[in-house]
Amino acid sequence: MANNTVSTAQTSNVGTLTAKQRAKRIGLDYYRHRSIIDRWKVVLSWVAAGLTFPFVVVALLAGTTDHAGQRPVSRADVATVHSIWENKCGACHVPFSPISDESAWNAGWLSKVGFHANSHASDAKCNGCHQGDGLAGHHEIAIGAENKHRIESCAACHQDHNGRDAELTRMHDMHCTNCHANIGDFNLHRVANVTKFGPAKEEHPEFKLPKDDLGKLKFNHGTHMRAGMSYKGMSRDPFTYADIRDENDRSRYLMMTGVKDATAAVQLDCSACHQMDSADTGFKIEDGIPGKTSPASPSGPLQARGSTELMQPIVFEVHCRACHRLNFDARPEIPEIPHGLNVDDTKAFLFGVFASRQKVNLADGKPVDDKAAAELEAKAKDQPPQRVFPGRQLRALEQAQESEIHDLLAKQVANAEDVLFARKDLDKAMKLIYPGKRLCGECHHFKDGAGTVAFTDKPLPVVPPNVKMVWYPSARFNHATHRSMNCKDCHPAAAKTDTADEKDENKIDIRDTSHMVMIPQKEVCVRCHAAESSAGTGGARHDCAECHRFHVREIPEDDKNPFTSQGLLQSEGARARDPKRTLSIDELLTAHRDGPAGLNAKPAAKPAEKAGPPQAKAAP
Amino acid sequence: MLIARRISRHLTWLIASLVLMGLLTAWWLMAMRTSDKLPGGGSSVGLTLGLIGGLLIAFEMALVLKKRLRSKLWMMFQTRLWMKAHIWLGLLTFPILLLHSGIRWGGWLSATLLALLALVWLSGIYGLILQQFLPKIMLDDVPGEAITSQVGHIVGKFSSDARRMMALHFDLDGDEATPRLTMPSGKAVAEKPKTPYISVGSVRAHTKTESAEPEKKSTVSAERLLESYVKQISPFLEEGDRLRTPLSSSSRSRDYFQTLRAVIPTTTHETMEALEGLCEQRRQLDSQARLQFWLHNWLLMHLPLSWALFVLMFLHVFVALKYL
Repeated sequence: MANNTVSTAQTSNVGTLTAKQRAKRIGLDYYRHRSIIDRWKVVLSWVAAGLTFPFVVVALLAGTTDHAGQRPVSRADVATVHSIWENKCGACHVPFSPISDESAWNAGWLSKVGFHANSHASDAKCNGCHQGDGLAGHHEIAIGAENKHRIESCAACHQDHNGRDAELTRMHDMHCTNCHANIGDFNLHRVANVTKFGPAKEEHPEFKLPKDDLGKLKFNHGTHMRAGMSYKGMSRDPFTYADIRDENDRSRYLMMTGVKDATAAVQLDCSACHQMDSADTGFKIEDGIPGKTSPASPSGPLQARGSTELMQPIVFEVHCRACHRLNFDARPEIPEIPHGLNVDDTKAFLFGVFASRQKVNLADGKPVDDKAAAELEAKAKDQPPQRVFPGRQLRALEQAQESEIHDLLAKQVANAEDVLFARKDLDKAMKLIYPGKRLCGECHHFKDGAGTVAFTDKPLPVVPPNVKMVWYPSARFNHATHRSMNCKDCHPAAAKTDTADEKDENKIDIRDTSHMVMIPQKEVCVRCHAAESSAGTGGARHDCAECHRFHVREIPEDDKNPFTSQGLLQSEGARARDPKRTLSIDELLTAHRDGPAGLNAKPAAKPAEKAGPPQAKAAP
Repeated sequence: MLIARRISRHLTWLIASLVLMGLLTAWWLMAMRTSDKLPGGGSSVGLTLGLIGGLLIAFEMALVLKKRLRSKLWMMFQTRLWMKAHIWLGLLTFPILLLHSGIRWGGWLSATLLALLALVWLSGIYGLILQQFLPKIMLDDVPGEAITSQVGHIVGKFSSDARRMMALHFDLDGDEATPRLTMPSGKAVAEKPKTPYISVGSVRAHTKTESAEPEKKSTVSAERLLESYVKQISPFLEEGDRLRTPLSSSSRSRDYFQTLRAVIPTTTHETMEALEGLCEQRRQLDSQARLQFWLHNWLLMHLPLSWALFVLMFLHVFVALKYL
């Protein structure tokens, strides 16, 4: 082996070295020797592997540490509403159990080959805070127990870790169309398939609007939208601001419409009655709404800071009374009757009015103002003076007088009731009592036995108007976000009711068009809310969550349950969504420390405390 | 591994890689269209991509085992085939895992992983590009290429061989070298090497002159060779181009030795030529070292970061499954 290597100086021309000669320069154990790069590769590899150790330690402990801003395994910030648990993975996650049905373990091929994890394990953690029966999925009720496995977990729809500003309730259509694209699979044939919101019927069915408005209120939108509420052929003059009797109401409407001249005809627009905020009524807080407000409740029946999802309710004192005053007697000293009284209360009120008037007249030594009172006085003169015995005789006299007075008042009440209710011919009555349409029959229907009559000549109870508040029971609409739009573009029927123009072929009874449904159908919405089309339409958001809420109608209507009998209105503020027990601040902080799931495991420290009425829950 | 010049040999891998990536991308895009968002690692397609990417990384790291372990199990795979797979599957790794991430950085663990993956991937591409032309340059410019780890050893042999050759003419044992005016005996040069790498070529080279007629030259001329050896050649053979010397340049070296040839005895010409050859080899080894550095320096990033990526990948799998 001594000659197995060759001299490096074998030849001066190195280029002529053969491979064998070059190879012989190398010892047989050359592979045991590393180059400097090889040595550094090894060293640096160990160093790099060692540097990962802190990562391992921090990442494994990160779920339980309180280091603010540490986000080792999260892909992004959680939403603002969950930021209190930003660094507590276990507050929402169950270790090694997928939180979402969308995860590959459940929705992907892994589940098909036998790997299936319970994504609903984390639902209990969600329910730790989001308690209440209202969270039961409407699908669970609708699709039946046999399809229960298709119910998604909370996090399947409400996907977090998408940044602070992410909307957790703005999920993709896929979560809806999973079932609704082929809803027939659930034997729900009354529900049409939905693939997306678009003009085609196959994409989204027409809105389920009633054919007729079943509300019982006589009203004509078109007439009220005309200047002076007058039209061709009408005998009276246009209604002007000066015709508004109450000075406050007059100034309010002048202010609202921006008109300076009180002799101008009143011109209302939609917003005169359909308002989103109580302040839009024009009433000053210190004045309040007559008969409806108090210092404790300055907005009365109207909602201060309206949510804008629904219009403020139409309130007689706010929106009608300025023109339609309920005076039943032309004499100014006779007050108008309050709105909303039933038959008995009306009688009582009238009785009180006239009794009070009698009392005033008697106290002033004035004769009563009608023939019956004079007769009463004459009858008293004809009677022999009676001996007054303490007690019985005086009492008998008083009873006789009271009976007479009662009869007198009853007669007056009957006269007043005749005025109030005896309105067989409305047009004739209108002319008689002008200005200002008024009194019950003008707007209300009456209960007559089992049926309903539009007019009556006798005192009958008024049929509740049932003005529909929610027209889209399964959807929502926000007028505030559409306030830049012309109302008539979406509610053209409101304008069509104005049939004063004789040329209008669609002549409609101007006296009562209240049966007409003026809520827009899908064709109006899809002009903006649909996929953008070459025609220039569409482009506005049109995902399911734009209009629909999943947890709104989840409570089945139950006539026995006063809180669910109006299932259409079960939203966030509904009492049915109240938690079974409310939390103290300490408990909330405990949940912050241990995660909300701990709340379920702990027994209640105090007796269950039910929340207040639904109104109290309807916090903004 | 040359790809650019031998693309036909990689055509199958190229097409297979493109098809696989295309299919996976199409799946991912479909999922994105369905969910209207970028599918992340927890989605069905995301987890599948992550699984594939993880297996690819594991395979890429198995190259270390392939190189280290020499059992029959590993030897049954052709190295060339393995390297092809390493390159083409490695190229797929980043786009696959980028889709797996949902094209998001995520938390700092996944962001670190993605950054590491990008660095490993880019360094690998960088190395692959270098490997397309540097070996050709080395083949052309460094015909005396040696095993990189043996360069130091060979350089040592250069010095010892040069010294032995000079010892034929000069007495190099004393403090001051003095020229021998007679030819050295064959015994002096025939002594056996003490190391297993001792060369015999120089003996052969010298034995050719053994029968030559002794030629007397002036000592002044012989001293020029000794002086050159001591001041220029020997330091250059030991230090290489770290020294600023004419010998580090091929052309200047040729001039240098041309000049030297004119002033030294003809009996020493062969030794001088051998020394010139050693200097040439030394220059080539210097060139080789430079080329080797550029050819392999990317591994100083590629390999350590790959290990870090490999370790953190398991951590990522753990936490991802825990908080899926």
